[in-house]
Order: sequence, then structure tokens, then C-alpha cells
Amino acid sequence: MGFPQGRLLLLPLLLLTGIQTGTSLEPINYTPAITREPLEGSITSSTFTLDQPNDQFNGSGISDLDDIWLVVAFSNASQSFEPPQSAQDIPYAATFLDKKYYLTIRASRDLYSSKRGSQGISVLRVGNETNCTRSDCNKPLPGPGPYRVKFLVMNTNGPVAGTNWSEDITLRKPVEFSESRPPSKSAGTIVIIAILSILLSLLFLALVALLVYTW
Amino acid sequence: EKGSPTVVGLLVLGNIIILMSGLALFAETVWVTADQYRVYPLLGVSGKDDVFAGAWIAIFTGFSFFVVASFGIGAVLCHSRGMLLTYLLLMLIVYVFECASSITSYTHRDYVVSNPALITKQMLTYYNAPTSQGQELTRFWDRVMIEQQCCGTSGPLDWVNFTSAFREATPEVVFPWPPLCCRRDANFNPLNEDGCRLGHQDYLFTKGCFEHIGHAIDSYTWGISWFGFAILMWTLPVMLLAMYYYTIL
Repeated sequence: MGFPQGRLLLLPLLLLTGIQTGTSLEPINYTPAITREPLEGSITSSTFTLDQPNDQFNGSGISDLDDIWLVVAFSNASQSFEPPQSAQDIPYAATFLDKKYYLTIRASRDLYSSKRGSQGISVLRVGNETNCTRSDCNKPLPGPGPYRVKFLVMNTNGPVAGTNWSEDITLRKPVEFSESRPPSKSAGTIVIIAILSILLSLLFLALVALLVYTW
Repeated sequence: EKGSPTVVGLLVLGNIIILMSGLALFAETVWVTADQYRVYPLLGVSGKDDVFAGAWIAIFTGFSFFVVASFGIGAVLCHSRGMLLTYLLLMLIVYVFECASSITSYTHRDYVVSNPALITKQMLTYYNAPTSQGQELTRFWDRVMIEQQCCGTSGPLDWVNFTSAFREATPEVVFPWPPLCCRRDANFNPLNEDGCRLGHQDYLFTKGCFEHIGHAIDSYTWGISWFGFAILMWTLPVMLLAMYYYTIL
């Protein structure tokens, strides 16, 4: 009654205003994930392959003309991610190591619809372009990560909607192949060597005994 | 002119079996030396090609068994002590060589194919390497991968998980594994290059080649080592019987 309750009332008000001024993103309940198709190369040392987010962008606030970007970020920077407020602010792969995140693979709702990919497999390979000169290149990743990704919908006014962050994605690190186990002698080798040695010595001794006995 | 007819009969029978087995060993090791699976480059580059050395020795010993056992039949039927002693000494020499062949072959087979480590290491070091050994091994692997529809030793991920000479020539984004691992149509064009790059099993060979190579080398080794071992197991009692016959002549 009085002072403590007054403080309690103030706190929720501050929280509400905090949420509204920071982000106005419509949340899409979809978590990007590494593809479940049986692909040998789903994770390599500089690329990884995601399932396409088909039919996830049918919300009311999203139009057919909006850009859907893929945000790639280092795992430890994903919590402090702020979506770029306009198309000029978008960071690309060239500044990835400074800003710790970048946007790539610009698409639209029409491309991410299950009606299109009736033949073949629908996946997104992050890091697929080796020699492109545009600014929003999908360049190979610079290290093993770990990375997190999410999809971000933007229109001319700024960010509109975003999916959840994915789980940590750690790329492979190729190592020098080491013959850690020395080749083991199988049971057959032991059998052959042991038995043949015994037989040969038996034969030799028998022959020597014969010669000594009969000379 | 003593000598019981049963012992003579047994000795003749024993030597007939030895001479036929010797001839079979000779023919079979000629087949091994001809290397119809054409795996010699793999062994030659590693320097562990004594599986074939065992085969060459067994060609000699197989034929020698044939000759000496025929001589032994003659010695037994002639009831001659001198001939029998010569037979025993010659047989001992051939016996020693055959033991050597059997043991060498099996030991080297163990070294190469008991686990995939040696072959994988060699493949990663030499495939697409610019040296002459590299070229030889590259031709070998290219042929095996196309003929057997396989990729790498344990699978295409050998090229992704480990550093290799191939990786130095071709960055991983361009192609994670050799392009010959892609499934191809009748005109030798890849069915789907992007699918192969991603690693979809409809467009890439996902089986490893180690099974085929292991099977080839095992076939050779079984024919040299175990067959030779069986002949030696049979020859010992025949020779002991011949020694007994020598004492009663």
C-alpha cells in the first residue's frame, strides 16, 4: 500500500514503453535449421545448408514486395542484434568481422512458397558464391563459427517481421589425418606364423634326427 | 628290398596330392600376379607390395612342389635310399620358401587393409598431388571411383573432414570432393552438379571404396597364404612318413 506498490506499478509501464520503442517486429514462430535432407555436404568448413522457410511469411503485415533477408551472426552477438532501420543501413558480408552480423540472400515471399519447389530439393546454401562482385554477396564463411541465423522481412520503411534465431551452427574444421592406431595384427597372422614356425622346426629336427640316427 | 607296401602306397598317394596342390598353387598365384583388380599402384606407392612378392615366391614353390613330389614318387617306388634322402632335403628347402611366402603375404595384407587408415592417408596425400606418384595414384582412384561407383575411402566426407592435396588445388566452396564422385549419365555429364556439390545421394556416390579394395587384396592374400598353409599342413605328415620309410629301407 503506498510506496512499494507505487514502484511496482511504475516498473511494468517502463517495460512496456521499452519494448515499443526498440523493436516493432512482428514475430514469426519459425526456427531456421540445418536441412534435414540426407545431404553429405550440409555442413562443410565454410558453408552450411538450411531448409527453405517455405510458407512461413503469410502474416498480414507482410506484402509480396517485401524483401526477406537472411541474417547471419556470430552466436555471441545474436543477443545484441538490432535490425537495420532502413535499406541503407544494411551491413553486408564485407563488414562481417567488424559488425559481427550481416544480411544476405535477398528473396521474396513468392520464392519461399512450397508451390515452386515441386521438383528437386529446396534448400539454401549459405556461403555459395565464390566470385561475385555485388555488395550483398553470399560469401563463404570465414571460420568455424559458431553462427546463428534468422530471417528478417524488410520493406521501404524498415524491418517488419523476423523469425526466431536458429540453434548454434558450428562448421567443420578439417584436420590433418593421423594414423592414430598402428595397424593391428589380426588373428590370422598370429595363427599362421605360430603354426608354421612349429611345423618347420618339427620338420627340421626330424630330418636332423634321421641323419644322425642312420649315418 | 624291404619296405612295407602300405607305407609305399600311402607315400605315393601323399605325394600325388602334393603335386596336384603344387600345380594348383602355381596356377593360382599366376592369377594373383596378373592383378585383375589392378590394385598394384596402391601397394606400390606405399612400398608395402610384398603381397605380390609372396605371390612370386609361391609361383616358384608351387611348381617346385610339383617337380619334387613327382621325384618323390619315383624315389619311393624305386626303394632307393639315396633318392629318398635327396627328396627329403629338396622338400625341406621348398617348405622353407613356402612358409616365407605365406607369412609375408599375410603380414603385408594386414598392414594395408586391416583398417582404412593407411589407404586414407595415402589418398589424402597423393590424390591430385603434382608428383609422379601423385599422378599414378590419381589415375588409380579415378578409375576405381568410376568403376565401383564409390567416393573416397570411407565416403566423400573424407575430403571434408581432413586436409588433403586435393583441397589445396580445389577450394571447398568450388567442390568439396572430387568431381568424379558425381553420378553421371551415359555421356559422362554429371546428372546435377549443384546436387553433387551439396551431396545429395541421388547425385553423388556416397559409398566408400575401401570395401572393394579390401576385398581385392583379401582375395589375393587368401589364395597365397591360406592355400599355402593348407599345403604345408598336408606336406608335413607325408614327409614324416617318408622319413620313417627311410629308416626301414
